[in-house]
Amino acid sequence: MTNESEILSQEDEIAALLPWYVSGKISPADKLRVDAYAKEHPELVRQIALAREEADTVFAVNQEIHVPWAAVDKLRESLEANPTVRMQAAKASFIDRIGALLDALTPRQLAYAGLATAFALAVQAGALSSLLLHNQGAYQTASSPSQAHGKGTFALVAFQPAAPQSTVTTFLAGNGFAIVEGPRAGGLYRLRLSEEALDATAATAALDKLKARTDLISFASTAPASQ
Amino acid sequence: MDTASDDRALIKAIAGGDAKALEKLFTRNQTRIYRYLARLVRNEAQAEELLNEVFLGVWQSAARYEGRSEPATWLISIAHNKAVSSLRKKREVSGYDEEAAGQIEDEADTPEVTTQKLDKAAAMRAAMQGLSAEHREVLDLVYYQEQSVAEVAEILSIPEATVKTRMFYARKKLSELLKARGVDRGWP
Repeated sequence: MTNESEILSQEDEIAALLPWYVSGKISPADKLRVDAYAKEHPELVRQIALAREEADTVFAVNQEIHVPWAAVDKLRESLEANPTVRMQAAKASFIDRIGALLDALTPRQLAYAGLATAFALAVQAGALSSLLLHNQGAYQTASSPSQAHGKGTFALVAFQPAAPQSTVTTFLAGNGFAIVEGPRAGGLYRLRLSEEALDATAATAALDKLKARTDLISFASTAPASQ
Repeated sequence: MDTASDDRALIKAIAGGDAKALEKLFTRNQTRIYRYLARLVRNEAQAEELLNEVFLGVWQSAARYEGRSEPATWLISIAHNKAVSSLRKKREVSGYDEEAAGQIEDEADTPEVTTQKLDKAAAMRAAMQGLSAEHREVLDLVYYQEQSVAEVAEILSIPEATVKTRMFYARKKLSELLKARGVDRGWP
């Protein structure tokens, strides 16, 4: 057992501070102490490198954990099921969600993530741009009737709970699909497969693309243009 | 506005009963909070359940947020309390200590066998998995969640000196676990 109330030696306390030194979240006073110690002990450079290895591993391990796709829907359901909660009518749109996700990435996280995150960000940003351009610059919420119904070819889909949002977004945008409504009961979303009314062969081909991604989509079926 | 200012504004809106603001705060922070929970409880279904509970907690307590701490620190504090409470209940019900079991399993491989199986990076990952929940948590809070000494102290409700001591022993234990896997870091 370790005794956490013991007083560390100067050497051990410096070793304890290195993770904050590496993360940049060290206090100015502690940073001065580490810098002063490093001047007298050049071997500290090696220890700083060890802390950086730890940071890289922790970051990599965390990056592999993906939030379940339907997490926000679960929260919404919990709120609606709570009789003491008065839900306001508005629900965050799909594009709101992506925008919020991008907003929340800090420069430090981006720097740490390196190429992997930069790539993911580019894909997400591209997907967002694609969605917005697809709407011809006229921003509308996902539940907007003019998007959800009318001209075009549509499908109803349910996403795999563990499907990463970024992968789903990239897949949909890459195929020109857009979520126009949802979630409905049972976690179903209404997708616009095309702004045009596709013939049966083309509609089946589009639907097959959805069904082929069993890692992202658990259910897919065509839906009429107006419901 | 920066991320913290945006989140502060959202928490204020949530305190006023704005459910849309809660969804936005959730979307902005779900990844970091879910990862924190998943790393701590080591069970994805439980982490998802706790993620939900954290933000229901935010909905109920937003009015009490005084803005003294960073929104991220406040959210992780709530997550920490939910996770610790959940782990405690689980231990009381099952009488099964996952941490202890995890340690025993980690020691099953001999260093020679493990070294053959793992390269250095993989050994580092495996060693981190062998740490206790407390030690894993303090490393995650600093390296991934980017919390300062004072913020970690606030989240864990322990003195700053104890945070530093815990960090020292977490790193020391990590070196020991790596050594057992044939990787000598030369420290301590």
